[in-house]
Amino acid sequence: MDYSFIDHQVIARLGAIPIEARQPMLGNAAGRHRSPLRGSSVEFAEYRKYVQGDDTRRLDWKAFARSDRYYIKEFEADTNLRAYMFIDTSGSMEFSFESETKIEYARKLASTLAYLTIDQGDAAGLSLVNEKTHLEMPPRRKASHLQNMFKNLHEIQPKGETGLVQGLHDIAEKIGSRAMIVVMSDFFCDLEELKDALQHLRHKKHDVTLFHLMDPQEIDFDFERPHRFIDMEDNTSVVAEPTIIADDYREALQEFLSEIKTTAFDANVAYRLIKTDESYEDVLSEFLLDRVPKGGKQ
Amino acid sequence: MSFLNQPILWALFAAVIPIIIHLLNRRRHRTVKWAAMSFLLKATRESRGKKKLKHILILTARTLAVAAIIFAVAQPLIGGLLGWGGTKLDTVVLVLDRSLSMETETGTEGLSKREQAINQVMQTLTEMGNPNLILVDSASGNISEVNPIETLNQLSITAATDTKSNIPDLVEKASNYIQGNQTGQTEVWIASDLQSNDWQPESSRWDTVRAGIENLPQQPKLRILALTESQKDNASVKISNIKRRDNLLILDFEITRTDDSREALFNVSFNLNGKNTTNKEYSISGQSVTLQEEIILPRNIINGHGYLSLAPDGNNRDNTAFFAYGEATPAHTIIVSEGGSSIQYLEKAAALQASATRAQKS
Repeated sequence: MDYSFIDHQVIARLGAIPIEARQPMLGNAAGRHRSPLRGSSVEFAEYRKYVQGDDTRRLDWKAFARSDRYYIKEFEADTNLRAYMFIDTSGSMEFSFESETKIEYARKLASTLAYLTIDQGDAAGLSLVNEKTHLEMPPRRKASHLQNMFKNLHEIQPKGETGLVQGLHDIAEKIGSRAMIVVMSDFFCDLEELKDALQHLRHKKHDVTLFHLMDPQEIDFDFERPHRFIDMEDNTSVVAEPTIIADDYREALQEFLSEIKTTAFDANVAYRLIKTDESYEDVLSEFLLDRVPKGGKQ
Repeated sequence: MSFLNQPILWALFAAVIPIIIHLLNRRRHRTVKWAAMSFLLKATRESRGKKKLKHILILTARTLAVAAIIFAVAQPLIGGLLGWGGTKLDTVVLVLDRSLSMETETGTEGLSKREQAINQVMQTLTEMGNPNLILVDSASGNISEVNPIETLNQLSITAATDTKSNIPDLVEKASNYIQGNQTGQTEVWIASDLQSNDWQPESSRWDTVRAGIENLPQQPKLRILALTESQKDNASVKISNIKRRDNLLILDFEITRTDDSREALFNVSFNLNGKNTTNKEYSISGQSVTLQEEIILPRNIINGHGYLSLAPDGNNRDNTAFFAYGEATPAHTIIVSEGGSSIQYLEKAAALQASATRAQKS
């Protein structure tokens, strides 16, 4: 089945850039990413002193001949990457003014990233959360898994209030450690609670990226006539005169954007503000290139 | 308070337009589903006080600006303590346009523009404490002092005339009067219907007038009492040519009307030597039409006179055209032509020669 949010030409162009982890990963299979554990790859890691119980086959006899001491020669372990697409599906994600909805934009980002991840032999998973986490697909490497992800992305119906913070705490507990987590949301939640959730993820040594999706009209607030604004999450409404409140609105929003950026910085997670009229290919291209190690593989 | 252009005050209703627009805009709000609601509520709370007051002040300023423009266009006349600068007006020099067009009736009161102007001047001057009134009327061109002011509408020098006006000439006379007399704080009021043939806007005379006013030791205020309201439907008649052939009088006359939006019937009465001869109806569809009528003259009367008249309308002074006739002139010249403009020139040339011949005989 063809899905409107998948553009094969974009995938083909982005396929030239590998998805790299910023830190050692803990995967469930051999792969191209560095592991914190020692393994059996060809890349030398370090010497360490022999201790009782070590496999004598791994003793470096040449070193013993030179120094008359027993050394174990260790090699890097290579593992695969587990990438989680964590999408906020609360009612506010359905918002659009003249560009596409935030959820539609998130679909494109998530589906393309998942495709690229599985295409390079790594595993991709999906979590959808509104008031609570309503779908979890653990990371898999199979093509059939990718099809299921697309189907679930296609069927997303944004509604209700956001349970983003609780969802992040849950996933931090469930997926162990050292995975790549890409969070796509408008982050209309309590930023202090969000900061706790992000620190929880970092404590588990996850590589976290926040894609902050905003409609251009939400930022610019370029209305002229009075409007009745209806909340997309709880349906409360307010009649406002934009010419009067525009400056205060923009000031409040800029304060929020600044705060969330600081929150991401404090929690040591990557952050990218995305306006939904931007090209998602440019966003992903920038995201992937930013992760490519400078001067070759670390 | 009096105004030179009082009917404009009706436009004060326009001052509420900014408020109406504001209220309509508030009612005609659009509904939009919104995600970033918390910032919107925060902004609404913060804007409620100071910003709302600022908005009300802007709205009030807009309303007052519209009202002020209308007041300015209405040209208020304020004397005494409420006057501009608080100085009392000593003399008003009234330049009264008494041309034929000022006899046009407007409104429902049946008053001509001239009568309206006179009434308004009398009322305003009374309210202003009866300053000296100097009248410069367009018919005689004379300068007269009017005292008391209440007699202004009874004077022969303010009565209706069929004359034309020369406004630059009259204003110059007013300027000369001010220069030659100690008039004190003076204003020049011009009551006119702003007809271009009276005002002669292209005339170089205006330069002299301007220079004369600028050279006055105390600059008088110049106010124009413009009587430009739309007039009632009006038609006028004038005789363009008259010929006598034996006992037949051939009259070429022109009927012109202001309202040419639809076809209308005009009743013309012909009077010869004091007796009504005929009444005829003509249907006119355009603004102007030239007509011809033949009147059979009595055999025993060689000279005579008469007139043709239209029914009463917006200006009764242009409803009648007079003519006179004498002995039939024998035809000395017969012009045979294909038509066109050349026939008029030939006709005029032949008329001159005939006239010269008669002069030699006498």
